[in-house]
Formats: sequence, C-alpha cells, structure tokens
Amino acid sequence: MRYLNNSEKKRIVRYRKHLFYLGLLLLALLEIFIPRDPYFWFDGLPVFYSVFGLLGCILTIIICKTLGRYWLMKSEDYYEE
Amino acid sequence: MIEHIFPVHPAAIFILGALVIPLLKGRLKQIYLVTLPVVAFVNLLYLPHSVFWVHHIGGFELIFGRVDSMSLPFGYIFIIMAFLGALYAIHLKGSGEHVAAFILVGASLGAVFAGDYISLYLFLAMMTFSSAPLIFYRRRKSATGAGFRYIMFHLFGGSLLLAGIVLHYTFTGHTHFGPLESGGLYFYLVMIGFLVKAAVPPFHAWLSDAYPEGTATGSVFLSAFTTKVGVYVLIRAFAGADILIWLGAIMAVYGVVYAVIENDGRRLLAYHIISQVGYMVAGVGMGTQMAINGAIAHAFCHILYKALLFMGPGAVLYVTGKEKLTELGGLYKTMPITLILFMVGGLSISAVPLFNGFVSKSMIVAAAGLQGEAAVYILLVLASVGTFLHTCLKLPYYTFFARDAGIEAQEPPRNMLMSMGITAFLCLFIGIYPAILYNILPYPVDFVPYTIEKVVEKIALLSFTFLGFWLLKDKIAGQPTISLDTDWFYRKAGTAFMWFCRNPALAFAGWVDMTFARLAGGFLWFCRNPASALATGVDSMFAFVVRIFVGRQRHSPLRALKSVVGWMDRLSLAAEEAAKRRAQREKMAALAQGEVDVRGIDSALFLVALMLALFLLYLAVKYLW
Repeated sequence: MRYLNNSEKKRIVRYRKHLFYLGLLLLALLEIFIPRDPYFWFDGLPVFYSVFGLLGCILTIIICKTLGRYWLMKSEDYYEE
Repeated sequence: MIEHIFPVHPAAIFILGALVIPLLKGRLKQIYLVTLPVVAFVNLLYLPHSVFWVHHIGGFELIFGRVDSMSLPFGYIFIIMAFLGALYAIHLKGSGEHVAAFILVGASLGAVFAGDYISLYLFLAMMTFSSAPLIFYRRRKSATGAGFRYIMFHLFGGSLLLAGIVLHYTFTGHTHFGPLESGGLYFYLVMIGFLVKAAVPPFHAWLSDAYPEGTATGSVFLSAFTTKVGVYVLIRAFAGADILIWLGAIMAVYGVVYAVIENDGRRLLAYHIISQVGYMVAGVGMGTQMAINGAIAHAFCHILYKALLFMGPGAVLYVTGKEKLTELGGLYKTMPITLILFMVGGLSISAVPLFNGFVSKSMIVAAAGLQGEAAVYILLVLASVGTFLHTCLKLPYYTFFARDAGIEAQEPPRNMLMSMGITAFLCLFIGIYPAILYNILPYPVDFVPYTIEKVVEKIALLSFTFLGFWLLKDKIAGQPTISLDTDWFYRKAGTAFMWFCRNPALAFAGWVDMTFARLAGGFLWFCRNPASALATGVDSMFAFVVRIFVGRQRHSPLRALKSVVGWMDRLSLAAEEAAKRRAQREKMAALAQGEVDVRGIDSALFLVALMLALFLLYLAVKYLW
C-alpha cells in the first residue's frame, strides 16, 4: 500500500468494497438456501439474521444516541460541582 | 505416590503466598509471581470431588472446601487468570498491587469453594477490601472517590446479604450454602446481596464507576473475579429463579446502550462486562442443565477474553497515558501486535466462530430458544449485535485507526505482550477445540456449536452489523462526556449529605457547644469562690424579692427614661454577644471543613480488627477447650 499512488489506492479500496458487498450477498443467499431448524416462527424466516444485524445495529445507534443526547450524556465535570 | 500428596486449600496458597511478596525483590520476585499460580493449579488438579476442611466454631459448621463439578471450573479459570494477570503486571516494581491482587484471587477461590453462608460471607467481604487497592493505586482524585464508592456499595450489598443469612439461620437452623426455597424475606435479601456482586441493574453502577479507574494492570484482575463469583453464587442458590431470566436479558441490552454513548475505552469495556454477565444471569434463571452449563462455560470464556480486552487499552494507557477515544487514534502504525491481540479478544466477545465466545454464548442463546423464551432470545441476539458493534468495531476503530492523533507510542513491555499472547492463544484454542471446556462442565453436554446453520447465521448477523457500522461510523464517534447511571442517586445523595453536615448539622453542633461552654463557664465562676458567688446569688434574690414586695415608682417620667436606656444598653450588649458567638462558630466550621486526616480510618480499622481478633480468641477458648 505504501508505495502506491493515490488513484491506485482508491482502486484497491473500491475493489475491497465490492468484495465485501459480494460476501454479504453470498451470506444472505446462504441464509435462504441452507436447511434450518428454527426455534421460533420468526428466526427461520429467510435472511432473518442479515436483516436483524443491519437493522439492529442502525436502530441501536440511533436510539442510544438520542437517549444520550437528550438525557444521559453530561459534561465531564458534572459530579464535581 | 499420588495418594500421599495432601492438597492444600487453593485460597490459602494465594493469601499466605501474597504475604511473602514484599520480602522478595527483582528477578526472584518475578519468578515467584508466576510460579505461585502454577503451583496452585497443580494442587487443584489433585483435589478430589469431596468436602474438605470442615470446622465447627461457635455452634456453626464452617465448610471451606466443597469441591465438585460446579466449583472446579471456576477454580481452574481463576487460577489461570491469576497467572495471566501476574505475568501482565510482572514489570511493576512495588509490591502493593501484587499483594492485593493475590489476596483477591485467594478470596475469590475461598468464596467459590465455600460450602456455608458464613465462610462465603467472610470471603466475599475479603474480596471487596482486597480489590479496592487496585483502584486506589491509580493515585488520582477520581480513582480515590470511585474506590470509596466501590467499597461502600459492596458493604451495602454485604450487609443485606448478612441480614439474609441471619434470617435464613433463624428460620431453617442451618447455614449450609445451597438452593434457597423462594418466599421468605431472606430469599430476597440474599438475592440482592448476590445481585450486587454480579452487577445486575440497578445494582451495577459500582462496576462501570470503579473498574475504569483501576490501574492499567489492576483492572485486568478486577474484570475477572467479582462478577463471576456473583454468577457462581447465583447458580448455587438461585438456579431456575424466573426473575433472573428477565434481569439477565435486560442487563445484556442495558450494557450495550451505555457502551454506545461512552467515550472512555475501559468504561466501554466495563459496560460490556455487564452485558456479558447478563447472558450468564439469564442462563442461571433458565436453570436447565444446558443453560447452567452455558452460564459456567460463558463465565470461563468471558474471563479470558475480557482480560485480553482490558489488557489492550491497559497497554495503550501504559504506553501513552491516554484512555479517552477522543484523544486516541492512528495507533495501528506503532502498536500493531497490541491491535492484533486485542482483535482476538474482540472477535471472541462477539462470538465469531472459531473464537471461544462462540462455543459458550451460543449455548445460552440456544437454551433460551429451546425453552421458547422468544423475547429473551431476541434481546440476547440484539445484545450480541451491540457487543460486536462496540468492542470489535468502535473501540479498535477509534483507538487504532480513525484520525491520526499523532501520539508517540511503541509496543508495550514484553511481559504484557506475552500475557496477551497466551490469553489470545487460549481464546482461540477453546474456540477451535471446545471439548476441553465441555468436559469440565457439571452436566453432560449434548450441544454442537459448529453446525453449518449456526455458523452461517452468526456470520450473516455480524457481517451485516459491520455494514451498519460502516454506514454510521461517524455518528458513533466518542464525545467528551460522561453518562448518567444509577450511581447518580448515591453520588448526588452523597453531595447532599455533605451539604447537610457542613451547614445545618454543624450550626446545630456549634449551638450545643456554645450552650455547654457557657454552662461550664458558669460553673467555673461559681467554683472559683463559692462563698461570694452564693452571697451574690442571695443578694440578687434579695433584690428581686424586695423589688416585688416594695415596688417601684413606675410612673415617674425620669424612671421611664432610665428604663428605656437600660433596655437599649441590654440590646446592644446582646448584639455584641451574638456577633462574638457567630465568629466563634465560623472558626469552628472552618476547622471542620479543612483536610480530614484519613489516617484516622486506619487506626479505627485496626481497632475493629483487634476487637475481632479478641472476640475470635474468646470464641476459640470457650468452645475448643
């Protein structure tokens, strides 16, 4: 990486990104086609865990940050007054 | 040959062994520190499943060694952890931290092998006092405060536990430490005492308050013992208590919520201890063989990967002196080995296949699934999304990558890297060869972690979490804030209490003081010359009586003027007196507000210990002879 110029670096980053998306697609497909033995009605749905991972992550961040901004986060000397 | 070896109590090895540390120096001390855990481990291997060291003191049966398949896994991992922690801290010149850490290990082992409530209580108290120095040795104001709050909160939990034990003894007539039947008040008192140890919300704030304030090496020890002893005692007494399922599941998500908004790297990890212990508590609540197995296996793995995770930021703190995410960044260039070893811990806690978290955490989640607890199942899976998001993505991203903070750094000392390396190896080894862990669990394991289905589901879950992180990674950057938690109640109450002491209470004390001083002054005046004092008294009495009987010419104008002047005089005198008193009171208040001499506490503690020793001696003399 160190000896490459900028355009080459960008190309490698883009290549990696595409590889990552391809992997995600493959995982989602795998989750549809492999035989499953679900515990409940919902966790046997196709692509349940993929969607859960993505939505869970995004919602966690948004909800917690909102909670933090309006209630929980205080300045560092909050207890020293 | 083997039959002739009589094993020693593992706790005794560490507690007595710790007392030798200050006598040693240099290389010898270093060798001693890593040899002692090895000796203890070999000793533990020779302990057969049985009940040892039963003493009858004061009509109570104290059982110090209940060795069975429930306590042994905890014994193994505690001693392994003692070795790893000692190796990580071996470069420290002073003895204090080593002694405290080894006594902590010894007390934890004592608690794990205790077979009755009294010895359990004693070892739990010993754990509190031996772990606090690991926080005090940070030697800064915030650490001292956090350390005192830590002790106070554990004393609070401890006194509830003691009350529960006493009630239990009153009702059942024994102190045997086993499953408690639900119902009575003692059931809840003992449970709260244990919940404090396991850091279950709302009794958890001591953990996120104190652990990040510990020294770089001390926090590694702290992270391993207290909460896991909490889980162990919950398993012993409350396996199958329904309320624990919900507390555990909520706890798992609770820790994640706070980790999102946390800026201090080690505090983020502390919140993830709460989250991970939530899995174990939920497992205890389910109470099935698989769930209990899962809880113990997860405690075993958790100690390893959490130690590794605390070692990473600990090394960064040791090298750079910084721990806030907003002050760090770009360290991957100078600390690549630390980064890689830290990532092993991160992948383990996230339960990535081939790492140890996967083989233990999936057991608890599967147990929830098999029991049909849908909501608990969802909460636990959600918590694992959050865990991956923070420990494995946010923390390393903002410590080692993100912007280059231009900090000069190098790899930490070799012993730190070695300790991290061994821990990382153990994490991977158990992940790849789980049978070695499953074989020491109390119940037979018929759970196969590595099926195509489970592996694909897990990788899909975590990869899509990564996608979510990548989309929102600028949103979760650390911000220089602290978070409100349930410690708000007692921290604010503490401030209010101090205000009350400094203002109304001190003023009242001053008033009482002045009154008695004047009374005493009056007595002094009387005692100097009782005869003339009596005469004065008689004189004034006489004057009073005469005035009553003889009367005065009230209506002459001169008389009236005189009396007004007299009153004015008296008023100004009273005002002067009041001002004098006020000055004196202020002086006393100023005296009380200065630095309190903390050494007083030492002597108080010494006196208490002396009295305890005398009392024990009295008991021994009375009941043994």
